[in-house]
Amino acid sequence: MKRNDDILRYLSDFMSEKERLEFEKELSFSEELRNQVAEKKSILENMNAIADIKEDSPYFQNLLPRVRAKVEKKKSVMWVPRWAYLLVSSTAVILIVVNISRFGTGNENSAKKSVQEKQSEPTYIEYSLNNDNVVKSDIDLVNTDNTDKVNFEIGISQLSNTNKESLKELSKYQRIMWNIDNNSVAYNSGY
Amino acid sequence: MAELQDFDLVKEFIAGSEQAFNKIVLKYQNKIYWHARRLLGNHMDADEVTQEVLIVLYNKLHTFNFQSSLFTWIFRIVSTRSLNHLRKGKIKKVLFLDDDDNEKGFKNNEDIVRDLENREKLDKLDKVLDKLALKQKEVFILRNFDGLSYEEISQITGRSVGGLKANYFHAIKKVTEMMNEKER
Repeated sequence: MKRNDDILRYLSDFMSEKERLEFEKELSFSEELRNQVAEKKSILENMNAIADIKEDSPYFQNLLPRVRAKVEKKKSVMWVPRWAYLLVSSTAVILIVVNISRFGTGNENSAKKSVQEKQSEPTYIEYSLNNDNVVKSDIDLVNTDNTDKVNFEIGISQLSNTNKESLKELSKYQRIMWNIDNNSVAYNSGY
Repeated sequence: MAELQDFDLVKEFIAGSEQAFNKIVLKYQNKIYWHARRLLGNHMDADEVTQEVLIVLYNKLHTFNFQSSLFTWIFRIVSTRSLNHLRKGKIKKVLFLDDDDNEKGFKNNEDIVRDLENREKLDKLDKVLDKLALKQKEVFILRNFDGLSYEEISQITGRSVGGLKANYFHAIKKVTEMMNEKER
């Protein structure tokens, strides 16, 4: 067994220099050892003979065209490098972050918008002689600045300048109407 | 001389000559296929790996640094791809519980060796190589069939010469035992 291993180690060049010299020395003296080495060598050579196989199909003639076709197919497919995916996704994240920091969330926007809308809404003014007795008048104010109908309420604090002007005109008009009514009442009652 | 010719072909290919690539393929396709075939043990897998290697060659030849021979560079790709293929196959077998005999029969249906005598030789070779561990098989094929030195095999496999010698020793021990058993 040891002899067998030594032969295989010798054939594998798996011996130290000293071991190899000793083995070769023994090989020169022993015919039996030489025969054993020759036997192992012939087994390995026999393996080479077994492995020497000739193909009998046009496989190798067709191989290059097949590979060429695959290479061309791969060339025609647009190749996207992996870093491109990373670039696109990181750009998207950056854009979202910038968008949020610049414009805020949708709630803040709608709050701002509702305030702006409230300020720009036309003011309906209700008019009353007494604060707790609101009277809605349908006085046509065609000649007033910017409103067709004005409901007037005394005590409304938030009025635009235009509406304040309208308010002054309206009260002037009301006073005239009031005087006319009083006069007619006085006239009818015989005063 | 052969090395210089190879280097010239690579330079021509890098310069844009498609003909140079064809010449490289025609020169090495046989060796690539048979190395893969011996490692993988069937035509279908060997064919797949051979095509893969040639495509890699086409795409990566411009990275060849002219430090080693083109032959060892190509064989490194073949060995790596074949071993990866074998490992993937083993994983598949474990995961899907493939029937090994059925699979081999299916894979050998379409073969480039049809002559009866050659088929027998091939079956015998496959049976012997199948008993070897992957590392032993690789070094045995490269040293015995391709006639490469340990230094060349070391360049291809990336393993130490000492380790390769040990692998080869264990490989030929198994091979000689199996051949002796068959002769008895």
